[in-house]
Amino acid sequence: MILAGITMTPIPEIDYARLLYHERKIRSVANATRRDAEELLALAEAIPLRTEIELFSLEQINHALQKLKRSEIRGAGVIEIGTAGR
Amino acid sequence: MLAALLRSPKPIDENPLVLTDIPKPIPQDHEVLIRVRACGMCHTDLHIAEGEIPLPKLPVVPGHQIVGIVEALGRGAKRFQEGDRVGVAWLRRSCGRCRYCNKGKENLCEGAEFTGLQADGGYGESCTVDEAFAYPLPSDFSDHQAAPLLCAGVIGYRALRLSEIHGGERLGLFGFGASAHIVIQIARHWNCEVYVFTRSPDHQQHARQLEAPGGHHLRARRRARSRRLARPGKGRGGDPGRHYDDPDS
Repeated sequence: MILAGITMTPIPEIDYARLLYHERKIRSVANATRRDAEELLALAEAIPLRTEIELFSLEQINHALQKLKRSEIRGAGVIEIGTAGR
Repeated sequence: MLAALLRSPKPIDENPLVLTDIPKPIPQDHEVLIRVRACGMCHTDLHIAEGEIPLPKLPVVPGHQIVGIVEALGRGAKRFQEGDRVGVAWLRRSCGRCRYCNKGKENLCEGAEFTGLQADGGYGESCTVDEAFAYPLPSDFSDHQAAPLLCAGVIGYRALRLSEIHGGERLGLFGFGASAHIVIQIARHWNCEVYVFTRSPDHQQHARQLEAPGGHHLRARRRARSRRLARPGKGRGGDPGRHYDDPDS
């Protein structure tokens, strides 16, 4: 079980015998290395991955983060800055 | 330059980020100055804006999934040229000497610095980063589409590696946001069987949509939140294999 969050609410009590015994592991992820980024970018090109995005302007930043908090963004929210992307 | 500045954290409904004119940064020694074109949003930005994690620098410009164009070079910067498109991620500095760096775990570096936390990030018109922490980006991706790769993609990929999953094995994803929508594609590529647990009906539908490049039948158990999303042998090839060792080893 891998937990990928920089902060979390307390984790509820778990049943040791059913959920953890037998050398099961719970592990967090803290940040990432440059190697992770390079490998992911290579995979993104090779698979190829497709990211689904919802675009916002910089002026909409608070609104966009409010939507993120309410799980109202499908895929990833992206802030568009300066010239429009290609 | 214009940037979304956080002066003091507060609940996101109180609009903690304020568009402010701040001085454009100047690239130091090995840094590049980047004209930002897109910056992906991450839950960590939300935790920063609301003050749920310690904030070493205030005011700060958050944002750490940056895609932009190199517009100037520090004196010692050689890796990129003006006009190159680069990405910037969360990790922006590591010491290269501590017990973690020496073991290939710079993510845990005692002197690590993070974009949009210890230094201004991508929710502004320009930013700087050491050239060693900037990435060339695959040309097939638009600026907007590349941005979420830089944290949602990278952290999801690291989580997958740490899970030690192998091709054809079963994967459960809890929550289906930006990171999971990328991870499911990698897991499918590796022929993994994927289950998604999420309360959001829209995210459930998104997960179903992404599971089936071949369009095979989806088995969904009534009343259960889990959805069987992919069967082994249906992926488009590839197995993480030895490449996919636990990064600890």
